[in-house]
Amino acid sequence: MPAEDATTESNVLSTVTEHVVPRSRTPQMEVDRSEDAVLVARLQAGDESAFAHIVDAWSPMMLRVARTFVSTDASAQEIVQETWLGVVRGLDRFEGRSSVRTWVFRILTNLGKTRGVREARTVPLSSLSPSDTDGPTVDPSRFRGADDEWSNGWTPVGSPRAWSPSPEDAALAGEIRSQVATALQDLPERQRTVVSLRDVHGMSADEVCVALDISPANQRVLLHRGRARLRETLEDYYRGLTPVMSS
Amino acid sequence: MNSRDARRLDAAGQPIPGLQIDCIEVVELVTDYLEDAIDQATRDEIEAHLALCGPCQIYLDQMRTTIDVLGHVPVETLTDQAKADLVAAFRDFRAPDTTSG
Repeated sequence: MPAEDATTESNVLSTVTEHVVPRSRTPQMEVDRSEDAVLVARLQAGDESAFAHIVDAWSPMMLRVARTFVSTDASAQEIVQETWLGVVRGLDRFEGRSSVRTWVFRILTNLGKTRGVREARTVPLSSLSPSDTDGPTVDPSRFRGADDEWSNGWTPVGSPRAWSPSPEDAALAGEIRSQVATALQDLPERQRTVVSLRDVHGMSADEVCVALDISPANQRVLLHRGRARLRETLEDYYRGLTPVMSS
Repeated sequence: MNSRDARRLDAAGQPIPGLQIDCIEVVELVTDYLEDAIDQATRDEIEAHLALCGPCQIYLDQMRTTIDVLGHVPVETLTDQAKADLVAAFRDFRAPDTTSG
């Protein structure tokens, strides 16, 4: 088998087989090829529930990917709908050389690129901007200076404090999600896209690199900066909760 | 050797695992660590550091917590009508051809 087939087929998460919406960060699993073959067989046999299931499970992340090609949510919706219609029409020709999910995303990105050119949207995601690479992600003043025996270690004031109560605490969960959702929208576009696809939608690193046409190293840089900024948002939120002590 | 380097070595002059890397570096390697995009020696050093350093352990835990919260942020999807239309298109296209023959 050609190497590229092996690569593309290693991208599938266990979403279909587990019948869960793919939002748990399951580590990238080996493809269960027999499970994917079952899905293909069900789809080709006209199993509506199998089709409805993948439409439910994959459309949110497909919309997010589509949105990188076009400038409006309405256009993104159209791309995703066109993609599914392409899937319906192409099913009989699908030979299972990649996973179903990889195939669906390939249709999506092809349609997105065409549509993006037509709408003359030119926001290349493939290169990093200064805001994506500038400086450390944690304020350097939180670490000890060069003269300190423990230089570059946390200062007592700069050390992170454990968050209490936990973000899952019923009293806080809603507010915390809302804070993070807002901060996510405020991230620079590339970081926002990568963090959304990885952490909100549960796509694998490989899938994100292919969908956005970025290198694995750049994907990690964007993910790191975005996550670090959002951690800081939560830290600020918790700092506001804590009764002010002597500072 | 200055005092800063000296504290990285044990009495026999051997490097102390976990002290070969600084907190300021650990926080920038957290994602590579979680993504398993580092070599084994660096991974071992980070883990030795985390075992010694409460604040870095908290920082790592908070990154994991942040990721977990992101997994619960609401997402947009197709409208129910659009989904129903797609399933109908699937049904029409996939329907066994019972009209002929």
